[in-house]
Amino acid sequence: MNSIFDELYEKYHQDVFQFLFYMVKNREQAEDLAQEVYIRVLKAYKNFEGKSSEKTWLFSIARNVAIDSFRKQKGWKQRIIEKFDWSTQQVKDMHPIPEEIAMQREEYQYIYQCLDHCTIDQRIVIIMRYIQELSIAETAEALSWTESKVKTTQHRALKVLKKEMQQLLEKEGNR
Amino acid sequence: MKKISDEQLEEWLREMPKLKDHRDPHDIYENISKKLEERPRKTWIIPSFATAAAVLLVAILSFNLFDGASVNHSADKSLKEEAAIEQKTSLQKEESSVENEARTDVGNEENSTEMNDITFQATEDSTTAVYAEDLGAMQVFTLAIPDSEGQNIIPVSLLVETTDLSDKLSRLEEAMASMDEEEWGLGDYYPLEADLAVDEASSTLNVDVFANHPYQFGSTTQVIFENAIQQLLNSLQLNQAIFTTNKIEKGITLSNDVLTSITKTEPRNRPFYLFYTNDIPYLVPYSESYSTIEEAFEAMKTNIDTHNLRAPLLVDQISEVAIDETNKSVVITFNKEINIEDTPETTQSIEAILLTVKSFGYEKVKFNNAPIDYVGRFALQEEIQVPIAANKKSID
Repeated sequence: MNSIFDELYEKYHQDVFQFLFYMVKNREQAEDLAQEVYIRVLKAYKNFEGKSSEKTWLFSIARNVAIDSFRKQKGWKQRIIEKFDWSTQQVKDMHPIPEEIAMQREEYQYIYQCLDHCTIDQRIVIIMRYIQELSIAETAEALSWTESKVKTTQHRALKVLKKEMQQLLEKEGNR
Repeated sequence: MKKISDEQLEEWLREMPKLKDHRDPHDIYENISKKLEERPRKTWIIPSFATAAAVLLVAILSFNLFDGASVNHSADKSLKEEAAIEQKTSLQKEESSVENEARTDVGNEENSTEMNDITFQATEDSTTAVYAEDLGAMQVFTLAIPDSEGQNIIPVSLLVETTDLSDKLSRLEEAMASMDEEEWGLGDYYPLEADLAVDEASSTLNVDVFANHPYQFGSTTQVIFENAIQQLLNSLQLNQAIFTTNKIEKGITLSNDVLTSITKTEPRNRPFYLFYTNDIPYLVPYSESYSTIEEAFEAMKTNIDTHNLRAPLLVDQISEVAIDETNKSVVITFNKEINIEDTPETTQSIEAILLTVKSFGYEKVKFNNAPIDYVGRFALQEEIQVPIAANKKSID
């Protein structure tokens, strides 16, 4: 195997995969996108100047790959083809809760659902900051944003999540 | 039900389960190498396929549009031949009726070229700006929105149905809250993290921010913020903005200074360029201003690569610019050998010229030496009114 691939896989694969999974909420798609990240990385590795850290560079590519996939998904064809399960002639749920989360406490399941209410930027920041545990500075570097933009986006995202969580918990409480 | 605290939420987020990829790295590497190998081939097959399809489509469409009449002629002819061979009375009857129809078609031939023009106008409107005729009872609000890189500031004009003009600010705030800048390929900027209030008597917009407001870091942030406020003053037709922090302190801290107020200034004499994001076209003024239209057009011949701004077509073919101050109009003469194609990019380039002219304070444009009559909705042989505002968007 390629030595660059080996090294990157060893150091970052699970992080990048997890980021993509939380972004697209679909295991198969996350697997494809993780591969796409490697393809872009291996092509561009010689251009990597070391201006940013390897980790934030990789996350910035993963973020672009995820955003590109959202853009592609917006096409009506994909929407129909992917959402329609031809074998059962039924619209299937694109985002079933993954086993790892379904087995956990309800709160985690709710958070997983509530992520859908965030904008793409907000979701990226939440995943990078809390789930991947990147610092504000690292997140800003990966997104080529100012740190203050990261902070505001994080702030707004938490507000959205809190509101949606509150509603979900109240609904459950009333059952 | 107890309220969720920020700390609680953050704790849950940190504890979210780890999601792992269970594939063997060897399999992943194999998949990647396969893709790396097959890539170059794919990249040219699809575009050339698309090109072929597009050429075919254009051929079919233009054949129908231009040759509508002659198609009828040949159909008529072949029908006649068939009829001659078969010699059937019923067919002859049919033929004569077809012939009659064909004749009326021929009679209308003069009109039919006109018809083609109308079809052209109706087929697709690739204009981006707001024109007087689009307005109806709607009101235009223009907002300054940064692109996703924060490099360009794009004036985006919202058409808002309004009955009550005194309530402009709340309509504008509603619009700010409901629009999705990212869907438009731009940076998420609105609603502003500030309390806005209008004081009609002193023609003032009061802007109050928290001490930890997000507009204080970086000079770009400051430029964007000031632009956003300027554009608000223009949209709300107010003369000045006064800033406060935490409702009591005068002024607002920005990266370079403390700003207490700004007065309305309209950016003038700006060149407009094409800017594409997510395949959506925008017309964007560059921050430099020029003293004459000629100089602005001269500058517009070259792309501004640092800002991803593309030079409009046609400007490099302008041979002369004449200004009629009394009529507030500009006559633009193209080189004689100019070739103009009716494409969306040409339409948007014409808009860039119109908006530049508008930025210099003129109202009408007349083009000389245009080899075709129409580009999109623009009748090139007639005087064209400049748009009301750039980059039209509607919100639900």
